[in-house]
Amino acid sequence: MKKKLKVKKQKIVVSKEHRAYIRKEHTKTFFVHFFRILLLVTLLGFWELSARLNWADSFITSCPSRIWKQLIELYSTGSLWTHIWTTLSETLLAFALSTAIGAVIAILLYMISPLRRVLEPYIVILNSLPKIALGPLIIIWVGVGTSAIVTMGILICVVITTINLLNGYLEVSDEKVMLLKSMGANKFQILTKLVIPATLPNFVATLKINLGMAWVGVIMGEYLSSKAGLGYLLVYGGQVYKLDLVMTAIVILCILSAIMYGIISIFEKILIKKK
Amino acid sequence: MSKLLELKNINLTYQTLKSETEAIKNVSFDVESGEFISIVGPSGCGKTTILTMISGLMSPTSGKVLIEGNEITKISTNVGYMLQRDNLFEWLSVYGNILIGPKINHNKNCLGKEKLNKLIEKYGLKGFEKSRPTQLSGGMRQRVSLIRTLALNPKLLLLDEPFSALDYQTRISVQNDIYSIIRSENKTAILVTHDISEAVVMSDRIIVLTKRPGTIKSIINLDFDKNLTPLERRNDPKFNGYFKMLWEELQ
Repeated sequence: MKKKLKVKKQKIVVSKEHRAYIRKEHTKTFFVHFFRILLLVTLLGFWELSARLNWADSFITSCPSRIWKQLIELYSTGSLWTHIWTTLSETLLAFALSTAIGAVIAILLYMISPLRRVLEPYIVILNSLPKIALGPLIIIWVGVGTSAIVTMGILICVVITTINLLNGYLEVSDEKVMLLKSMGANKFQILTKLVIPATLPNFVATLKINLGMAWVGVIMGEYLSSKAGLGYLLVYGGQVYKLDLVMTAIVILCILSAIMYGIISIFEKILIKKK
Repeated sequence: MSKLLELKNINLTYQTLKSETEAIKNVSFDVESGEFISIVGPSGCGKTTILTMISGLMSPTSGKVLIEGNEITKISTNVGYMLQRDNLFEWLSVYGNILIGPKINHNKNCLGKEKLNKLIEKYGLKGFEKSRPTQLSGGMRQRVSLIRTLALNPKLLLLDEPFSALDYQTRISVQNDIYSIIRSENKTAILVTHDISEAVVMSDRIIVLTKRPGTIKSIINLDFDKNLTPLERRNDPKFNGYFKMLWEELQ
Protein backbone atom coordinates (compact mmCIF):
# COMPACT_ATOMS: atom_id res chain seq x y z
CA MET A 1 0.00 0.00 0.00
CA LYS A 2 2.72 2.37 1.04
CA LYS A 3 4.74 1.49 -2.04
CA LYS A 4 1.76 2.08 -4.29
CA LEU A 5 1.16 5.52 -2.82
CA LYS A 6 4.75 6.47 -3.34
CA VAL A 7 4.64 5.45 -6.98
CA LYS A 8 1.47 7.45 -7.53
CA LYS A 9 2.95 10.53 -5.94
CA GLN A 10 6.07 10.21 -8.02
CA LYS A 11 4.01 9.93 -11.17
CA ILE A 12 2.24 13.21 -10.49
CA VAL A 13 5.52 14.99 -9.81
CA VAL A 14 7.04 13.68 -13.02
CA SER A 15 4.06 14.58 -15.12
CA LYS A 16 4.02 18.10 -13.73
CA GLU A 17 7.65 18.58 -14.67
CA HIS A 18 7.00 16.95 -17.96
CA ARG A 19 4.13 19.31 -18.64
CA ALA A 20 6.31 22.26 -17.80
CA TYR A 21 9.00 20.90 -20.08
CA ILE A 22 6.55 20.48 -22.94
CA ARG A 23 5.25 23.99 -22.45
CA LYS A 24 8.80 25.35 -22.47
CA GLU A 25 9.65 23.51 -25.66
CA HIS A 26 6.44 24.69 -27.33
CA THR A 27 7.23 28.27 -26.35
CA LYS A 28 10.71 27.92 -27.80
CA THR A 29 9.33 26.58 -31.08
CA PHE A 30 6.75 29.34 -31.18
CA PHE A 31 9.44 32.00 -30.80
CA VAL A 32 11.55 30.45 -33.52
CA HIS A 33 8.61 30.62 -35.94
CA PHE A 34 7.69 34.07 -34.74
CA PHE A 35 11.18 35.49 -35.34
CA ARG A 36 11.41 33.79 -38.70
CA ILE A 37 8.29 35.59 -39.88
CA LEU A 38 9.30 38.80 -38.13
CA LEU A 39 12.62 38.77 -39.98
CA LEU A 40 10.89 38.37 -43.34
CA VAL A 41 8.32 41.08 -42.62
CA THR A 42 10.97 43.49 -41.34
CA LEU A 43 13.20 42.98 -44.34
CA LEU A 44 10.33 43.38 -46.79
CA GLY A 45 9.01 46.40 -44.87
CA PHE A 46 12.42 48.05 -44.77
CA TRP A 47 12.91 47.36 -48.46
CA GLU A 48 9.54 48.85 -49.34
CA LEU A 49 10.07 51.81 -47.03
CA SER A 50 13.51 52.61 -48.40
CA ALA A 51 11.99 52.72 -51.87
CA ARG A 52 9.00 54.83 -50.87
CA LEU A 53 11.10 57.33 -48.89
CA ASN A 54 13.71 57.45 -51.65
CA TRP A 55 16.53 56.20 -49.43
CA ALA A 56 17.44 54.01 -52.34
CA ASP A 57 16.72 54.27 -56.03
CA SER A 58 13.94 51.75 -56.54
CA PHE A 59 14.80 51.61 -60.23
CA ILE A 60 17.97 49.82 -59.17
CA THR A 61 16.83 48.02 -56.01
CA SER A 62 13.19 47.39 -56.94
CA CYS A 63 10.79 46.81 -54.03
CA PRO A 64 8.10 44.36 -52.91
CA SER A 65 5.20 46.36 -54.32
CA ARG A 66 6.90 46.69 -57.71
CA ILE A 67 7.64 42.97 -57.69
CA TRP A 68 4.01 42.28 -56.93
CA LYS A 69 2.95 44.59 -59.77
CA GLN A 70 5.35 42.83 -62.10
CA LEU A 71 3.98 39.48 -61.04
CA ILE A 72 0.40 40.61 -61.79
CA GLU A 73 1.54 41.94 -65.16
CA LEU A 74 3.19 38.65 -66.08
CA TYR A 75 0.10 36.83 -64.94
CA SER A 76 -2.33 39.00 -66.89
CA THR A 77 -0.34 38.71 -70.11
CA GLY A 78 -0.45 34.98 -69.60
CA SER A 79 3.30 34.53 -69.78
CA LEU A 80 3.82 33.78 -66.07
CA TRP A 81 2.84 30.12 -66.33
CA THR A 82 4.74 29.70 -69.59
CA HIS A 83 7.96 30.87 -67.97
CA ILE A 84 7.42 28.86 -64.81
CA TRP A 85 6.48 25.71 -66.70
CA THR A 86 9.42 26.06 -69.10
CA THR A 87 11.98 26.23 -66.31
CA LEU A 88 10.20 23.73 -64.06
CA SER A 89 9.86 21.10 -66.77
CA GLU A 90 13.47 21.54 -67.82
CA THR A 91 14.59 21.23 -64.21
CA LEU A 92 12.51 18.13 -63.57
CA LEU A 93 13.78 16.55 -66.77
CA ALA A 94 17.43 17.34 -65.95
CA PHE A 95 16.91 16.14 -62.37
CA ALA A 96 15.29 12.85 -63.37
CA LEU A 97 17.71 12.08 -66.20
CA SER A 98 20.83 12.98 -64.23
CA THR A 99 19.66 10.89 -61.25
CA ALA A 100 18.96 7.91 -63.51
CA ILE A 101 22.20 8.23 -65.49
CA GLY A 102 24.24 8.88 -62.34
CA ALA A 103 22.72 5.86 -60.60
CA VAL A 104 23.43 3.56 -63.54
CA ILE A 105 27.04 4.76 -63.78
CA ALA A 106 27.52 4.45 -60.00
CA ILE A 107 26.18 0.89 -60.03
CA LEU A 108 28.42 -0.07 -62.96
CA LEU A 109 31.46 1.42 -61.25
CA TYR A 110 30.57 -0.38 -58.03
CA MET A 111 30.11 -3.74 -59.70
CA ILE A 112 33.16 -3.54 -61.96
CA SER A 113 36.08 -2.49 -59.80
CA PRO A 114 38.71 -2.46 -62.59
CA LEU A 115 36.51 0.04 -64.43
CA ARG A 116 36.34 2.10 -61.25
CA ARG A 117 40.10 2.16 -60.92
CA VAL A 118 40.61 3.13 -64.55
CA LEU A 119 38.02 5.91 -64.53
CA GLU A 120 38.76 7.38 -61.09
CA PRO A 121 41.06 10.26 -62.22
CA TYR A 122 38.70 11.17 -65.05
CA ILE A 123 35.77 11.42 -62.69
CA VAL A 124 37.78 13.65 -60.36
CA ILE A 125 38.68 15.97 -63.24
CA LEU A 126 35.12 16.04 -64.59
CA ASN A 127 33.87 16.86 -61.13
CA SER A 128 36.17 19.85 -60.71
CA LEU A 129 35.67 21.11 -64.26
CA PRO A 130 33.33 24.15 -64.33
CA LYS A 131 30.62 22.72 -66.56
CA ILE A 132 29.64 26.16 -67.86
CA ALA A 133 32.89 26.00 -69.85
CA LEU A 134 31.21 23.36 -71.98
CA GLY A 135 28.47 25.85 -72.97
CA PRO A 136 29.70 26.59 -76.50
CA LEU A 137 30.20 22.89 -77.20
CA ILE A 138 26.72 22.04 -75.98
CA ILE A 139 25.13 24.61 -78.23
CA ILE A 140 27.04 23.36 -81.26
CA TRP A 141 26.52 19.69 -80.48
CA VAL A 142 22.91 19.50 -79.37
CA GLY A 143 21.60 22.79 -80.73
CA VAL A 144 20.00 25.73 -78.98
CA GLY A 145 16.85 25.61 -76.88
CA THR A 146 15.47 23.02 -74.50
CA SER A 147 17.92 20.27 -75.43
CA ALA A 148 20.91 22.51 -74.68
CA ILE A 149 19.40 23.65 -71.39
CA VAL A 150 18.57 20.15 -70.21
CA THR A 151 22.01 18.92 -71.29
CA MET A 152 23.62 21.64 -69.21
CA GLY A 153 21.46 20.64 -66.26
CA ILE A 154 22.43 16.99 -66.64
CA LEU A 155 26.14 17.76 -66.98
CA ILE A 156 26.11 19.79 -63.80
CA CYS A 157 24.27 17.10 -61.82
CA VAL A 158 25.45 13.79 -63.13
CA VAL A 159 29.05 13.69 -61.91
CA ILE A 160 28.25 14.67 -58.35
CA THR A 161 25.34 12.20 -58.31
CA THR A 162 27.65 9.42 -59.47
CA ILE A 163 30.29 10.27 -56.88
CA ASN A 164 27.81 10.55 -54.00
CA LEU A 165 26.02 7.31 -54.81
CA LEU A 166 29.24 5.40 -55.44
CA ASN A 167 30.75 6.56 -52.15
CA GLY A 168 27.60 5.39 -50.38
CA TYR A 169 27.83 1.98 -52.04
CA LEU A 170 31.50 1.61 -51.13
CA GLU A 171 30.79 2.38 -47.48
CA VAL A 172 28.46 -0.62 -47.07
CA SER A 173 30.08 -2.84 -44.45
CA ASP A 174 32.40 -5.50 -45.81
CA GLU A 175 31.14 -7.91 -43.16
CA LYS A 176 27.59 -7.71 -44.50
CA VAL A 177 28.87 -8.27 -48.04
CA MET A 178 30.86 -11.28 -46.78
CA LEU A 179 27.81 -12.61 -44.98
CA LEU A 180 25.74 -12.55 -48.15
CA LYS A 181 28.59 -14.10 -50.13
CA SER A 182 28.81 -16.91 -47.58
CA MET A 183 25.12 -17.52 -48.23
CA GLY A 184 25.92 -17.94 -51.91
CA ALA A 185 24.74 -14.53 -53.12
CA ASN A 186 25.93 -13.33 -56.51
CA LYS A 187 27.01 -9.76 -57.27
CA PHE A 188 23.58 -8.75 -58.48
CA GLN A 189 21.91 -10.11 -55.33
CA ILE A 190 24.42 -8.29 -53.15
CA LEU A 191 23.44 -5.11 -54.99
CA THR A 192 19.68 -5.53 -54.74
CA LYS A 193 19.41 -7.18 -51.33
CA LEU A 194 22.08 -5.20 -49.51
CA VAL A 195 23.77 -2.27 -51.21
CA ILE A 196 20.73 -0.43 -52.56
CA PRO A 197 18.49 -0.77 -49.50
CA ALA A 198 21.37 -0.03 -47.12
CA THR A 199 22.18 3.21 -48.93
CA LEU A 200 18.64 4.52 -49.26
CA PRO A 201 19.24 7.44 -46.85
CA ASN A 202 22.30 8.41 -48.89
CA PHE A 203 20.17 8.20 -52.03
CA VAL A 204 17.65 10.65 -50.64
CA ALA A 205 20.43 13.00 -49.52
CA THR A 206 21.81 12.82 -53.06
CA LEU A 207 18.39 13.66 -54.47
CA LYS A 208 18.31 16.80 -52.35
CA ILE A 209 21.73 17.96 -53.53
CA ASN A 210 20.87 17.00 -57.08
CA LEU A 211 17.71 19.05 -57.09
CA GLY A 212 19.60 22.20 -56.11
CA MET A 213 22.19 21.46 -58.78
CA ALA A 214 19.48 20.90 -61.41
CA TRP A 215 18.13 24.42 -60.76
CA VAL A 216 21.65 25.82 -61.14
CA GLY A 217 22.20 23.90 -64.36
CA VAL A 218 18.91 24.87 -65.94
CA ILE A 219 19.23 28.56 -65.11
CA MET A 220 22.78 28.45 -66.50
CA GLY A 221 21.46 26.72 -69.60
CA GLU A 222 18.79 29.37 -70.00
CA TYR A 223 21.49 32.04 -69.75
CA LEU A 224 23.18 30.36 -72.69
CA SER A 225 20.22 30.14 -74.98
CA SER A 226 16.50 30.44 -74.31
CA LYS A 227 13.33 32.09 -75.48
CA ALA A 228 11.35 31.53 -72.30
CA GLY A 229 11.83 30.49 -68.70
CA LEU A 230 12.92 32.17 -65.49
CA GLY A 231 16.57 32.24 -66.57
CA TYR A 232 15.43 33.99 -69.74
CA LEU A 233 13.55 36.58 -67.65
CA LEU A 234 16.70 37.13 -65.59
CA VAL A 235 18.90 37.70 -68.64
CA TYR A 236 16.31 39.76 -70.49
CA GLY A 237 15.48 41.85 -67.41
CA GLY A 238 19.20 42.53 -66.89
CA GLN A 239 19.75 43.51 -70.50
CA VAL A 240 16.90 46.02 -70.64
CA TYR A 241 17.49 47.24 -67.06
CA LYS A 242 14.11 45.98 -65.86
CA LEU A 243 15.28 45.03 -62.40
CA ASP A 244 11.70 44.45 -61.25
CA LEU A 245 11.61 41.58 -63.68
CA VAL A 246 14.93 40.21 -62.39
CA MET A 247 13.75 40.39 -58.78
CA THR A 248 10.40 38.81 -59.67
CA ALA A 249 12.13 35.89 -61.37
CA ILE A 250 14.35 35.40 -58.32
CA VAL A 251 11.33 35.40 -56.00
CA ILE A 252 9.54 32.82 -58.17
CA LEU A 253 12.68 30.66 -58.18
CA CYS A 254 12.86 30.82 -54.38
CA ILE A 255 9.26 29.69 -54.06
CA LEU A 256 9.59 26.91 -56.63
CA SER A 257 12.78 25.44 -55.18
CA ALA A 258 11.27 25.55 -51.68
CA ILE A 259 8.21 23.63 -52.92
CA MET A 260 10.31 20.99 -54.66
CA TYR A 261 12.57 20.61 -51.65
CA GLY A 262 9.43 20.15 -49.56
CA ILE A 263 8.22 17.41 -51.89
CA ILE A 264 11.51 15.52 -51.55
CA SER A 265 11.36 15.88 -47.75
CA ILE A 266 7.89 14.34 -47.77
CA PHE A 267 9.19 11.55 -50.01
CA GLU A 268 12.01 11.01 -47.50
CA LYS A 269 9.57 10.80 -44.60
CA ILE A 270 7.46 8.22 -46.44
CA LEU A 271 10.56 6.15 -47.20
CA ILE A 272 11.74 6.25 -43.59
CA LYS A 273 8.30 5.34 -42.32
CA LYS A 274 8.21 2.40 -44.70
CA LYS A 275 11.57 1.34 -43.38
CA MET B 1 30.51 -40.86 -36.27
CA SER B 2 31.71 -39.80 -39.65
CA LYS B 3 34.18 -37.21 -40.72
CA LEU B 4 32.32 -34.10 -41.78
CA LEU B 5 35.28 -31.85 -42.35
CA GLU B 6 38.91 -32.53 -43.13
CA LEU B 7 41.69 -29.99 -43.41
CA LYS B 8 44.77 -31.43 -45.08
CA ASN B 9 48.10 -29.59 -44.86
CA ILE B 10 46.61 -26.16 -45.24
CA ASN B 11 49.01 -23.31 -45.95
CA LEU B 12 48.05 -19.75 -46.60
CA THR B 13 50.24 -16.85 -47.57
CA TYR B 14 48.89 -13.33 -47.90
CA GLN B 15 50.38 -11.36 -50.75
CA THR B 16 50.73 -7.60 -50.80
CA LEU B 17 52.93 -5.41 -53.00
CA LYS B 18 55.30 -4.75 -50.12
CA SER B 19 55.51 -8.14 -48.55
CA GLU B 20 54.42 -11.71 -48.28
CA THR B 21 52.96 -12.91 -44.99
CA GLU B 22 52.70 -16.52 -44.03
CA ALA B 23 49.44 -16.70 -42.07
CA ILE B 24 48.75 -20.42 -41.78
CA LYS B 25 51.35 -23.14 -41.89
CA ASN B 26 50.65 -26.80 -42.33
CA VAL B 27 47.36 -27.04 -40.45
CA SER B 28 45.53 -30.36 -40.55
CA PHE B 29 42.59 -31.52 -38.48
CA ASP B 30 39.33 -33.45 -38.83
CA VAL B 31 35.93 -32.66 -37.43
CA GLU B 32 33.42 -35.40 -36.77
CA SER B 33 29.77 -34.87 -37.46
CA GLY B 34 28.06 -33.42 -34.37
CA GLU B 35 31.25 -32.17 -32.75
CA PHE B 36 31.75 -28.75 -31.24
CA ILE B 37 35.28 -27.51 -31.86
CA SER B 38 36.91 -24.31 -30.67
CA ILE B 39 39.96 -22.70 -32.18
CA VAL B 40 41.92 -20.47 -29.82
CA GLY B 41 45.21 -18.68 -30.18
CA PRO B 42 46.91 -15.31 -29.86
CA SER B 43 45.42 -12.50 -31.92
CA GLY B 44 46.55 -12.45 -35.52
CA CYS B 45 47.32 -16.18 -35.52
CA GLY B 46 44.95 -16.85 -38.40
CA LYS B 47 41.90 -18.22 -36.58
CA THR B 48 39.47 -16.27 -38.73
CA THR B 49 41.49 -17.10 -41.84
CA ILE B 50 40.89 -20.79 -41.20
CA LEU B 51 37.13 -20.21 -41.00
CA THR B 52 37.21 -18.13 -44.18
CA MET B 53 38.88 -21.01 -46.00
CA ILE B 54 36.39 -23.56 -44.68
CA SER B 55 33.53 -21.34 -45.83
CA GLY B 56 34.97 -21.25 -49.34
CA LEU B 57 35.28 -17.45 -49.32
CA MET B 58 39.05 -17.85 -49.69
CA SER B 59 41.18 -20.68 -51.07
CA PRO B 60 44.28 -21.99 -49.32
CA THR B 61 47.65 -21.40 -51.01
CA SER B 62 48.16 -25.12 -50.76
CA GLY B 63 46.38 -28.02 -49.13
CA LYS B 64 42.80 -29.19 -49.24
CA VAL B 65 39.56 -28.56 -47.38
CA LEU B 66 37.13 -31.45 -47.69
CA ILE B 67 33.51 -31.57 -46.62
CA GLU B 68 32.10 -35.09 -46.56
CA GLY B 69 35.05 -36.12 -48.67
CA ASN B 70 34.51 -33.51 -51.38
CA GLU B 71 37.00 -30.73 -51.87
CA ILE B 72 35.58 -27.24 -51.40
CA THR B 73 35.94 -25.27 -54.59
CA LYS B 74 33.20 -22.70 -54.15
CA ILE B 75 30.92 -21.31 -51.49
CA SER B 76 28.42 -23.88 -50.32
CA THR B 77 25.33 -23.59 -48.20
CA ASN B 78 26.54 -26.70 -46.38
CA VAL B 79 28.54 -24.24 -44.33
CA GLY B 80 26.89 -21.43 -42.36
CA TYR B 81 28.98 -18.50 -41.27
CA MET B 82 28.20 -16.38 -38.22
CA LEU B 83 30.30 -13.28 -37.78
CA GLN B 84 31.40 -11.28 -34.80
CA ARG B 85 28.65 -8.72 -35.17
CA ASP B 86 25.15 -9.96 -35.88
CA ASN B 87 25.04 -7.89 -39.10
CA LEU B 88 21.26 -7.86 -39.12
CA PHE B 89 19.78 -5.71 -41.86
CA GLU B 90 18.16 -2.78 -40.08
CA TRP B 91 15.74 -2.10 -42.92
CA LEU B 92 14.22 -5.58 -42.70
CA SER B 93 12.02 -7.10 -40.03
CA VAL B 94 13.22 -10.04 -37.94
CA TYR B 95 11.40 -12.37 -40.29
CA GLY B 96 12.80 -10.59 -43.33
CA ASN B 97 16.30 -11.05 -41.93
CA ILE B 98 15.75 -14.74 -41.33
CA LEU B 99 14.52 -15.18 -44.89
CA ILE B 100 17.55 -13.55 -46.58
CA GLY B 101 19.37 -16.83 -47.12
CA PRO B 102 16.38 -18.78 -48.49
CA LYS B 103 15.54 -15.85 -50.80
CA ILE B 104 19.08 -15.72 -52.18
CA ASN B 105 19.01 -19.46 -52.81
CA HIS B 106 15.45 -19.47 -54.17
CA ASN B 107 14.48 -21.79 -51.30
CA LYS B 108 16.76 -24.57 -52.51
CA ASN B 109 17.92 -26.83 -49.66
CA CYS B 110 16.49 -24.41 -47.12
CA LEU B 111 14.27 -24.87 -44.12
CA GLY B 112 10.60 -24.39 -44.91
CA LYS B 113 8.55 -21.62 -43.36
CA GLU B 114 6.94 -24.09 -40.98
CA LYS B 115 10.30 -25.20 -39.59
CA LEU B 116 11.49 -21.60 -39.37
CA ASN B 117 8.38 -20.59 -37.45
CA LYS B 118 9.08 -23.44 -35.06
CA LEU B 119 12.63 -22.19 -34.50
CA ILE B 120 11.36 -18.66 -33.97
CA GLU B 121 8.92 -19.88 -31.37
CA LYS B 122 11.34 -22.27 -29.70
CA TYR B 123 14.01 -19.64 -29.28
CA GLY B 124 11.88 -16.92 -27.81
CA LEU B 125 11.33 -14.69 -30.80
CA LYS B 126 7.64 -15.31 -31.29
CA GLY B 127 5.75 -12.03 -31.46
CA PHE B 128 8.88 -10.24 -32.64
CA GLU B 129 8.72 -11.42 -36.27
CA LYS B 130 7.68 -7.99 -37.49
CA SER B 131 9.98 -6.04 -35.18
CA ARG B 132 13.00 -4.19 -36.47
CA PRO B 133 16.41 -5.39 -35.25
CA THR B 134 16.90 -2.07 -33.39
CA GLN B 135 13.98 -3.01 -31.14
CA LEU B 136 15.71 -6.20 -29.95
CA SER B 137 18.22 -6.82 -27.18
CA GLY B 138 21.75 -7.94 -28.00
CA GLY B 139 20.94 -11.53 -27.08
CA MET B 140 17.83 -11.63 -29.21
CA ARG B 141 19.74 -10.18 -32.14
CA GLN B 142 22.29 -12.99 -31.91
CA ARG B 143 19.51 -15.56 -31.85
CA VAL B 144 17.97 -14.00 -34.96
CA SER B 145 21.40 -14.11 -36.54
CA LEU B 146 21.74 -17.81 -35.68
CA ILE B 147 18.30 -18.69 -37.02
CA ARG B 148 19.17 -16.75 -40.19
CA THR B 149 22.21 -19.00 -40.52
CA LEU B 150 20.22 -22.15 -39.72
CA ALA B 151 17.60 -21.24 -42.35
CA LEU B 152 19.97 -22.50 -45.03
CA ASN B 153 20.16 -25.81 -43.23
CA PRO B 154 23.96 -25.95 -43.05
CA LYS B 155 25.72 -29.09 -41.84
CA LEU B 156 28.58 -27.10 -40.39
CA LEU B 157 28.38 -23.82 -38.50
CA LEU B 158 31.32 -21.45 -38.36
CA LEU B 159 31.14 -19.05 -35.43
CA ASP B 160 33.63 -16.20 -35.56
CA GLU B 161 33.69 -14.69 -32.07
CA PRO B 162 29.92 -14.27 -32.17
CA PHE B 163 29.72 -13.25 -28.52
CA SER B 164 32.57 -10.79 -28.24
CA ALA B 165 30.46 -7.73 -28.97
CA LEU B 166 28.05 -8.53 -26.11
CA ASP B 167 28.35 -7.39 -22.52
CA TYR B 168 29.49 -10.02 -20.02
CA GLN B 169 26.11 -10.98 -18.61
CA THR B 170 24.41 -11.19 -22.01
CA ARG B 171 27.37 -13.13 -23.37
CA ILE B 172 26.99 -15.88 -20.78
CA SER B 173 23.29 -16.30 -21.42
CA VAL B 174 23.67 -16.12 -25.20
CA GLN B 175 26.43 -18.75 -25.03
CA ASN B 176 23.93 -20.96 -23.29
CA ASP B 177 21.19 -20.26 -25.83
CA ILE B 178 23.35 -20.71 -28.90
CA TYR B 179 24.91 -23.86 -27.50
CA SER B 180 21.56 -25.45 -26.81
CA ILE B 181 20.21 -24.47 -30.22
CA ILE B 182 23.24 -25.98 -31.98
CA ARG B 183 23.00 -29.16 -29.89
CA SER B 184 19.27 -29.63 -30.32
CA GLU B 185 19.48 -29.04 -34.07
CA ASN B 186 22.31 -31.59 -34.24
CA LYS B 187 24.73 -29.23 -35.93
CA THR B 188 28.49 -29.42 -36.11
CA ALA B 189 30.19 -26.22 -35.09
CA ILE B 190 33.59 -24.57 -35.16
CA LEU B 191 33.96 -21.62 -32.81
CA VAL B 192 36.77 -19.13 -33.04
CA THR B 193 37.34 -17.26 -29.81
CA HIS B 194 39.98 -15.53 -27.74
CA ASP B 195 38.00 -16.13 -24.56
CA ILE B 196 39.48 -19.14 -22.75
CA SER B 197 36.47 -19.83 -20.55
CA GLU B 198 34.15 -19.63 -23.55
CA ALA B 199 36.18 -22.30 -25.34
CA VAL B 200 36.12 -24.53 -22.24
CA VAL B 201 32.37 -24.28 -21.61
CA MET B 202 31.27 -24.80 -25.19
CA SER B 203 33.54 -27.32 -26.89
CA ASP B 204 34.22 -31.00 -27.13
CA ARG B 205 37.68 -30.29 -28.42
CA ILE B 206 39.91 -27.22 -28.44
CA ILE B 207 42.52 -26.57 -31.10
CA VAL B 208 45.29 -24.27 -29.87
CA LEU B 209 47.20 -22.33 -32.50
CA THR B 210 50.66 -20.78 -32.22
CA LYS B 211 51.27 -17.18 -33.09
CA ARG B 212 51.81 -16.26 -36.74
CA PRO B 213 52.32 -18.22 -38.86
CA GLY B 214 49.53 -20.23 -37.24
CA THR B 215 50.28 -23.90 -36.71
CA ILE B 216 48.56 -26.33 -34.40
CA LYS B 217 50.25 -26.23 -31.03
CA SER B 218 48.05 -28.74 -29.29
CA ILE B 219 44.59 -30.25 -29.26
CA ILE B 220 42.77 -30.55 -25.94
CA ASN B 221 39.93 -33.05 -25.57
CA LEU B 222 37.36 -32.01 -22.99
CA ASP B 223 35.59 -34.63 -21.01
CA PHE B 224 32.51 -33.01 -19.51
CA ASP B 225 29.24 -34.77 -18.92
CA LYS B 226 27.37 -34.61 -22.26
CA ASN B 227 24.27 -33.08 -20.76
CA LEU B 228 25.87 -30.11 -19.07
CA THR B 229 25.00 -26.67 -20.41
CA PRO B 230 27.77 -24.08 -20.73
CA LEU B 231 26.48 -22.42 -17.58
CA GLU B 232 26.63 -25.72 -15.65
CA ARG B 233 30.10 -26.42 -17.01
CA ARG B 234 31.30 -23.21 -15.39
CA ASN B 235 30.44 -24.73 -12.00
CA ASP B 236 31.83 -28.16 -12.79
CA PRO B 237 34.99 -29.12 -10.85
CA LYS B 238 36.74 -29.95 -14.14
CA PHE B 239 36.31 -26.40 -15.41
CA ASN B 240 39.21 -24.87 -13.52
CA GLY B 241 41.60 -27.62 -14.55
CA TYR B 242 40.84 -27.16 -18.23
CA PHE B 243 40.95 -23.41 -17.88
CA LYS B 244 44.42 -23.59 -16.35
CA MET B 245 45.61 -26.08 -18.96
CA LEU B 246 44.45 -23.82 -21.78
CA TRP B 247 45.91 -20.77 -20.08
CA GLU B 248 49.30 -22.43 -19.89
CA GLU B 249 49.10 -23.59 -23.50
CA LEU B 250 48.55 -20.02 -24.58
CA GLN B 251 51.50 -18.61 -22.65
